[in-house]
Formats: sequence, C-alpha cells, structure tokens
Amino acid sequence: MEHEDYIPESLKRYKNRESYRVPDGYFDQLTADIHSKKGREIVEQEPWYSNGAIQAKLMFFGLALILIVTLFTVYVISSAPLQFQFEDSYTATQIDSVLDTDDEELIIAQLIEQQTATATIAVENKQQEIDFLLYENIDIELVIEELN
Amino acid sequence: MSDAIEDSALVDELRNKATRNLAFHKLVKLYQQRVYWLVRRLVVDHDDANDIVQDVFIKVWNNIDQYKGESELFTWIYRIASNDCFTFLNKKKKRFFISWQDTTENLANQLESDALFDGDEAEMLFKKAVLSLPEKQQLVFNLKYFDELKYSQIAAITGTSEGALKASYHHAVKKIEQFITAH
Repeated sequence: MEHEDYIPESLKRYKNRESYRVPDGYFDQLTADIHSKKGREIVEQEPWYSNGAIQAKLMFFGLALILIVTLFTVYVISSAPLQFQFEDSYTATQIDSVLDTDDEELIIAQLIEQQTATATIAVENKQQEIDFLLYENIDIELVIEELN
Repeated sequence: MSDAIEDSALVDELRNKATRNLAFHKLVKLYQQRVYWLVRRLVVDHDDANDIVQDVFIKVWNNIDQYKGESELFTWIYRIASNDCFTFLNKKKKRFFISWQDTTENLANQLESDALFDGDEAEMLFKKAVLSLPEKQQLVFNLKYFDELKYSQIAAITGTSEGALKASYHHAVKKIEQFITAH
C-alpha cells in the first residue's frame, strides 16, 4: 500500500460495510426509471414534425391545400368576365373567315365591323357598349340578331 | 477482455443508432450501483441520490459523443456524477441561505433521521466525520477509501494533480480521526 493510502486502524472497520441501505429491489427499479426517463427525453428532443403520423397528416393537409387552391384558381379564371383585346377595326376578310364560328370576340368584331368599320371613336363607343352587355351578362348573339 | 477494450466497444455501440439502446442498458446495469453509492455518500438522502443518478445517466446518453476516450469511461461518468452532486448541494445551500458548515450539519441531522441508514453509533459518527469535510476532500476520501481508486483515476475525475490528491486524502484521514476522537 502506498504511504498516501494509509488508513489508521481506527478507520478500517468502516471500509467493508455500507451502512446506507436501499429499498428492496431498488436497483431493478432504478434501471427501469432510467430507461423510462430516457424514453421521455428522446420524445422531448425529437422535433414534433419528425413523428411519422404527424408527417403523414402534414402531407395530406398540404396536398388538400394545393388541391383547394388549384380548384379555386380554375373557378376564378373560368368565372371571370372575358377580357377583350379590341382592335380598332377588322378587315372584311377577317370577319368572313370567322362568321361561322361561335367565338364571342369575333362576333363582337363583326358587330363593330358592321356598325363602324373605320371610325375609331365609334369603335371605342361600341366597345364600351359591348363591355356593358358582357358585364350585364346579356346575350350578345341575341343583340347581333336584333341588329341584323 | 480488458476494461479499456470493453469500454471502447460499449462506447462504439452507444454511438451506433442500431445498437445504442441495448448498449445503454448494459451501461446502466454495469455502473448504476457504483454511481448510486458515490452519489448517496455525498448527498445522504436516498431520494435525492435517486434523482441525481437518473440525471447522470441521461447526461451520459445525451453526451456520449463528447466522451473522447482519454480516460476510463467510469471516470467520465463519475465526473458527471460528482459535479451533479456538488451542483445539487450548492443549490440547496443557496435556496436556504445556509453556509457549508450548516449544510454539513443538515446532512448529519438528515442521517440521524434516515430510515435507510443501518449503521451503529460508531458508523454514524464516522459518516458525520466524512460529511464534515470540505466537498472536494470528501469526494477524494470516498473515492479512495470506498471505491479504492488509483490516484490517476481520481485525478481524471476531479481534474486535480495526483500530488494534490495525496495531500488531500492525507488531510481528510487526519480530520476524520480528529473528529471521531473529539466526539
């Protein structure tokens, strides 16, 4: 024994006996408690979104959101009033080529052509009228028929 | 298998996601009693010791990547445990505005009313003598006297030179003898 390890006789008697006691079965319980605490620790440390079930819910919610936004966009686009790009005038050939079609824009062009083929002011006035008809949801084809 | 190789294998398993749970179970089984007794001797109360030991192993679990393998695994765990004990005792002192001397007396009183203390009068006196030591001297004495660690191992735990530890242990023994003689 090293000199520094010296234990006087008076102190030797306490060395091999532990006077503290633990409850029966304590160390098995301690093992279980440590594992349980470790389990809680892991759960607390993991980000909430790393849970598989939550991830699936988030993905479902995300897809549902995308679908709703897409449907809403399609609905808004399809229900919006048609925006017309008017030219000041159309040639007779252009009008003839589409007379048999149902294209609203060309029907309106035809209407303009019939009323004021060259007068810009008249075209603008007509365009306002047509915008009004469209805004009021009035059947343009019916108007054309009446005009004719 | 030597302790160092066994420790190294255990640490490798603890760092591997696939084996870490089983390795942690092995680690707890291997060291829980030693850690418990170290802690119990410093804080006296069983319930306090129980809480601290659980926290120590959780810290080991969380910080195993910080263990560099420069000292034995158990000295690293002991270091965490002793630091936790002193932190606990210091918090207790601050909470109740009491000095170290009063803390020692409180621990001695706690010992007298402890249902989980089986010692006779002489053992009670011995425990009180150990509790009367300054905290670091107490730790050195316990590690040398009860755990029979080498000074190099105690140095790894306390971060103190071996020479200083030898002196500290020598003073501790003398103080305990004097305390017992005086009472």
